This record gives sequence, structure tokens and C-alpha cells, in this order.
Amino acid sequence: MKLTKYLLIIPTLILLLALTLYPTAFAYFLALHEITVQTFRNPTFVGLDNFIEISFNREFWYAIGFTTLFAFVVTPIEMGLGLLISLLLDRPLSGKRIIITLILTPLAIAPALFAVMMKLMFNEFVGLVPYILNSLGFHYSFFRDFPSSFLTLIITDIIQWTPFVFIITYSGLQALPREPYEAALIDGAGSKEIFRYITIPLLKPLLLIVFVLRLMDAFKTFDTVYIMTGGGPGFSTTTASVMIYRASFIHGNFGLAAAATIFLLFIASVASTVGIRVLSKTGMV
Amino acid sequence: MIPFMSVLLMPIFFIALTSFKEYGAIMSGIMFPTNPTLENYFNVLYAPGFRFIDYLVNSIIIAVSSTLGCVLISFPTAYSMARFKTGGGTFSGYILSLRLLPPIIFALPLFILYQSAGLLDTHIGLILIYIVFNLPLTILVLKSFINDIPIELEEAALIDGCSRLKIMTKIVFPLAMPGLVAVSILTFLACWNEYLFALIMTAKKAATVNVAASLFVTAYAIKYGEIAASVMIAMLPPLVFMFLVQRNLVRGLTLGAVKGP
Repeated sequence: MKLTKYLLIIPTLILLLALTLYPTAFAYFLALHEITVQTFRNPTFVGLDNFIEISFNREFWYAIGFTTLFAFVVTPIEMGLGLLISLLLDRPLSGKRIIITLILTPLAIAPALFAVMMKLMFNEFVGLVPYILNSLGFHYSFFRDFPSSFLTLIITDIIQWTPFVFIITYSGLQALPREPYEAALIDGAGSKEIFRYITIPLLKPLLLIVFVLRLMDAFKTFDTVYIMTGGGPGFSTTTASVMIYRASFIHGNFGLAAAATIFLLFIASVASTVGIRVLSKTGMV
Repeated sequence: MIPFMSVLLMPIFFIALTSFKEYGAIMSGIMFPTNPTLENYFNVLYAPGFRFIDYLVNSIIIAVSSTLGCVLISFPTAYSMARFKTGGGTFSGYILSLRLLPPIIFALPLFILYQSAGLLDTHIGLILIYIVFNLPLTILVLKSFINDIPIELEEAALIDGCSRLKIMTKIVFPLAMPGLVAVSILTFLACWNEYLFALIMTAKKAATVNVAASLFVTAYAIKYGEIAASVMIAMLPPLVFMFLVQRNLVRGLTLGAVKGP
């Protein structure tokens, strides 16, 4: 029995070792060497040079800052909207199943494909948004400057992921106990007070889970940015993932990209440790 | 409700409309197609030199094999973790952190390792990556389903002289079936929709339909109708699967933490 329980996890362990731990160790090796696509066969040891270069690399820190900003902008909006929609639907309504199914559709669509769609939506020649703006008398072309590019990314992320917040908070609302509400009604509480003092506290663990998952996922953003703006104009909407992708696979500077990878690993590990701490309070781990 | 719904569904509606429009209608900014046409779909599927059907087949092979592999590997692990607390908090913490960390962290080292192992642009290479990066979801969700199965059933079977292996396959496996179905569909969705690794690790032979559709945008920037049609085709399978999983969706999305309605 003692043996069995370890035998059962061996396949998982092997895969995790081979495809997550080993690559992480290998990233350290790469980061300590001067290694590019050209010098791929014979890397030269350069010590901490790559780390020092990344520490003073403006683009890297800009990307980290931009990604953090993006995550902290979209997450609260999505949580507010998702919660609002689930409150609106938390009542007997005809055709509710169909409405919920329709709301969930963006969740099933690949972020990459959704980004393609949104890119067409905002396209200045054939897109729906410029078309509507035009008919209202505004002439505006998106993706030309930072504010409009940032805005399209935010809108895309919100449309795609608000359903995620919605379905979780909605099922949370459905599962709430009825008694506190009845007691509050008898005590003469208004609907605002009930929401503030009963619904929100009862939903708190759930909201925390959604917040951590959404924040971490927004921090990973690659597909949407890579396809819609390519990180531009200039460098202005480059997320950490897009920056490392470019350094690795476009510029082919493996050593430098590996150093950036390790910095990102540290930053994300701190964030995910905090996240796991929060989640373990809700009984998830 | 109506304003929310229309904003949420507008992009899909717009893409669907565009995919049935003729080239001229798209470029002259007509919103509703007057002569609906299937030309765009035909062009995407049968255009010479653009092997969209091959990419569809790749996506199916990779998503189905990854899902099967992932569920087969994670079920025993989830059972071991649920019943014996194997690995304790460290192990489940590591697994959960894999779900939270940005996958780009593993992209470069995996790419170079794959290059030396000859796994680049192969089905099996992408399948292995998809199995690993979906293990957190399947293990944690299955664990929560197995925790719900009364342990008395297993104890009774143990007393009757049943082996652990038999308990797992004959008692727990069938009882965890709803969970297995739910995680299978969610894993299939995740694999079908994955983009980063598909973009990095595949080129011609094993490219998935997402990569093909997104390359369409850059390569044929002006062929909006074809782009829309390829997006429509690529998103159809996950949409169908999404409707099947709705009942257990919440449990999957929160990695088993929330039971759902």
C-alpha cells in the first residue's frame, strides 16, 4: 500500500520532471551563456552578464509593467461586469438556459481566433466598430497609437473573459443558503444592505478564487496581443510573454531571453505563491 | 441584459456575416450580405497550396490524443492524492503553480530541448506538452470528484479481499465517470484552443488549425472573407463541446474548488 500510492503518481512525476523541471534547470544553463541562433553549437560561458543586461533592459521592465497594468485593469472590470450579469440572471426568467449558453460562447473560442475576430472588428476598412463610428460622424482608425491599441486589447479581454467570471459567480449565487436572506428581510433590510452585508461576504471565497485565476491568466496574455497589435505600435503594448517570445524566436538571442525567462519565473512565482496562499484559505489546495 | 448580450455576441455575429459575404461586399462596407455565398469556405478548404484540411486533421489528432493521455495519466495520480494525500501540500502546490505560471517560461528551453531531441514539428511533441500543461486541471478536478465518492464503498471492497487496482478500475473509475467526462471535454477545449506552443513547436507538418487561421491573417491580410471562414471552421468543434460540458463547467474552471449548480 505504501508502495502503491507512489507507483500511481510515477507517470505524472516523470512527465513533470522531463517537461517542467528539466527545462527550468536548462533555462539557467542558457542564461549563463552567450548563445544565439548562430552560436547554437558552441555556447560561451559569460557568467551573470545576461542577468545584468536584463536588469538594465528598459524593454523588459516596461513589458513587466505593462502586463501588470493590463491585468489590474481588466480583472476588476471583468469581475464587476460578471457579477452584475449574474445578479441580473439570479431570478426566475424564461429562456434562462439559452441566455446562459449564449453568454458562455466566447469562453469556448480560442483566444487566438477571438483575437483574429476582434482585429477584423476594429479594422478600419471592413470592421464593424469603425463603420458604426463613421455613421455617427467620427473618423477614427484603431491600432495607430498606444491608447487605441490598449483599448482594443482591453475590450477584447473583457468580452472573452467576463463570461468566465459570470458562470462562476452565477453558480455561487445559486448555491447560497436562503436563511440569511429570510432573516434579513424580516429584520427589514433593504436590497442594498442585503447585497453589501450578506451576498458579498458569502461570495467572498469564490470571488477570491476568480480574482486570483483571472489576474494570473491576464498576466500570461500572449495570443491576443501577439495577433492584434503584435506588441505595437512600437513597443507600447508588449506583454512579458510577447517580449520573451520575440527575444527568443524572432531575435534568436537565447541567452538573453533565458535570463528574461528566469526573471519572469521569479516574479510570477512570487505572485503565484501569494495566489496559492489566498486559494488555500478557500480550501482549494 | 440585452445590451450585454449583444456586445458579447457581436464579434461572432460579425465574423459569421463576413464569412458569407463576397469580396466586393466586404470591401464596400456592406454590413448584411445581399448575395450570401459559400465561396469563402470553399476557398479555405480547397485552395491549392493552403492545406487547411490537413491542419484540421492535425488539431483533431493532437487534441484527442492529448486528452486521452492526460486523463489516463492523471486518474491514478488524482486517486493517490485524494485517498493517501500523496506528496502532501508541496506536490499539489507545485501542480497548482503550473496552472498559474505563464507558459512562456517553458517555451525557450523546451524549444531547444525539442530541437535536439528531434521533436519539433511532430504530433507527439505537441501532445506531450499538452498533456503536461493540462495535468493541473485534470488532476485537481478529478481529485475533487474522487473526494466525493464515499470511502465506505472502498473499505467494504477491501474487506472482501479486493485489490487496490481492482478498486480503482472497478469501483472508483465508473463512479468518477461524470468527472472524467467533464475533464476530458475541458482538456479537449484547452488543447484545441492552445496557441503559444502550437506556434512555437510546429511549422508545416504538425501545425494546428489555430496557427493556420492566424497565419492567414498575416499572409493574406486582404482576404477578409477567407479569414472569417477559417475562423468559423476552427471554432466550431469547441463550441459544440462547450455545450456538452456546461453542467460541470464551473467545477472545471475553478479546478474543482467550486461544485457548481
